[in-house]
Amino acid sequence: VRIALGPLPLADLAPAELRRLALAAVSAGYDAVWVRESRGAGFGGGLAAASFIAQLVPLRAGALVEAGLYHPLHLAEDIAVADVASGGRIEVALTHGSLAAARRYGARPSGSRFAEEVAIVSEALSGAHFSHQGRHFRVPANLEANGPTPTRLAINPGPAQARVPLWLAARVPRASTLARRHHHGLLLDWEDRRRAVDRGRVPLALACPAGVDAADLLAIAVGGVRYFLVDARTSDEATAAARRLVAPLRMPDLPDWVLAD
Amino acid sequence: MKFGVGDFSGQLPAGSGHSHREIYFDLLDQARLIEGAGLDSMWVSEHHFAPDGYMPSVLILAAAALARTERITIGTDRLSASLHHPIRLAEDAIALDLMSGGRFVLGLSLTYRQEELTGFHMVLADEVDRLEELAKVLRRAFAGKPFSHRGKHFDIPRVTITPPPLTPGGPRLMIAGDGPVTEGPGRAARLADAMMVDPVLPWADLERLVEAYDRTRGDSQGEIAPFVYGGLHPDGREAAWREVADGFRYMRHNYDRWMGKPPTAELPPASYRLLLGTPADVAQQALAYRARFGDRVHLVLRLNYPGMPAAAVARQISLWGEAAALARG
Repeated sequence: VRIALGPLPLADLAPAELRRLALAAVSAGYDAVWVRESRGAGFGGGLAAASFIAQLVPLRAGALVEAGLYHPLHLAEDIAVADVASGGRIEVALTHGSLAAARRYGARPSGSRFAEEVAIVSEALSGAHFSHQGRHFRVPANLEANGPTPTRLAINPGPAQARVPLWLAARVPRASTLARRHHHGLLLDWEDRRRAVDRGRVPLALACPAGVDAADLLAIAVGGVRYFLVDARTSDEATAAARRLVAPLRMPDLPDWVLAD
Repeated sequence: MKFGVGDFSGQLPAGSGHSHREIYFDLLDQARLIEGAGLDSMWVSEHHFAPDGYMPSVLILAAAALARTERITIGTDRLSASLHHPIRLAEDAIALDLMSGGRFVLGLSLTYRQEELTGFHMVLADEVDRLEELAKVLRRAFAGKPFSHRGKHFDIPRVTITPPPLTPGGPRLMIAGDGPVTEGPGRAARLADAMMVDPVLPWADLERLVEAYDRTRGDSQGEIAPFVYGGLHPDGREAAWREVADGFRYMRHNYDRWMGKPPTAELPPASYRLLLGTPADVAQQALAYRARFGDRVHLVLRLNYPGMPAAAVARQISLWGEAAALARG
């Protein structure tokens, strides 16, 4: 079982506080620090923030990123470069761009577009040369006005990790199907924790509140969740949550007197 | 006058025996060396789908370099503007501005490689229009006030980009004065805070560009960032050239191939404004920019070429720091 701090909302945190929380995550024993962009409110830069944090702390760095707003090849390249620069410590969760974000970008989010974006990002991150002919994207486009170019392309550099851990927000329509098809995980919201079973070998992550009880998480872990993202917003909250959760979840068989704070 | 290093391209020549992971680690270490040498800035440059892995995601790498440093400016000198969505770029640039305490500069340029254009569903004919429209949208987005935009390429309803940037008016914008002298400098003067000048342009062209830039601005105060190639060595010009020659050749011939030109035969090219020699020589060569254009010059030297060992780049940075200190007096 792994435990991450976050996803920290970039919209609500000053950069100095983000830095403090990342450092607190190290001393508290978290495995990763996650951030969350919210482009509907104008807060982008999720992967840039993860890239920044990965240079500050020796933990893994994750970003909950909104898809459906710009070209997925940019997303794949951002993931790959962040991963290379961090020495292979990047994790990503993809969610639908909100309607507010889509409006700002002049985008038309849809289930079929999200499916194509996941396919393109997955292919691109594999490092292989590929092409994609879909309803929403043609990669490479090879428009009439383009000069002669190869019919396939590859992003370069590819990521440092053989597979960048990639999770799809479970609330996105057909997320389970897409996750299975592309061998990604599913990120569940706390409200959906009772659905954290029977996902057909899809790795599961769960976003949980900072005040959650270790026993509850242990029960959920039995159902198949192996990754918990703890939504603490202050250094004290992050530290307190780690004291309650980290040791019991990582070493559930230790006697109580060892786990006692 | 300011002194920078770049651009950094993250290229991995075939057979170099290294990995991109090593190159990026070196590059981030070099950001700290640049800061430690008393220099002012580091610049990264963007291309996509290149066989040698030319850096495709400059904002992400800039974020990492900003995290590693405390004082210097980190900027993109050539972000391929037309390939990006302006709202995304604005949001990400503001995030870098905030995270770094205002040390990020967003440099934009035109795209010319067909592989990149076709990869992102763009065409060459739209390049100039898209760059100009994107820069206008960025400016309004950086103002932190509600705005809408209806243009040829972008249709943006009434939005406000929040939070506002730390830097008043947003991260500084730099635009390359590329293309005909009647267009590039005017574009930079109208739309940006600074004009980047390509290192291949000879002195006469640089002077024409700056003249046109000043004319459009109506003053001689606008920042100019002449990029230059070169190298340093305590033993002088020939030794300095030997340090960088192999990497320079690789870089030059790669660009030549992309531009459909025959490989440049004259190395070092006599028409380039090369900075070559001892730190004292290079300080004098750098001061020629101040003599012509004043203190507004931000001189950016490329002394890091593809395939160069990290130790050699570190020596170059240290010597460039010495030269800059001499030039500052």
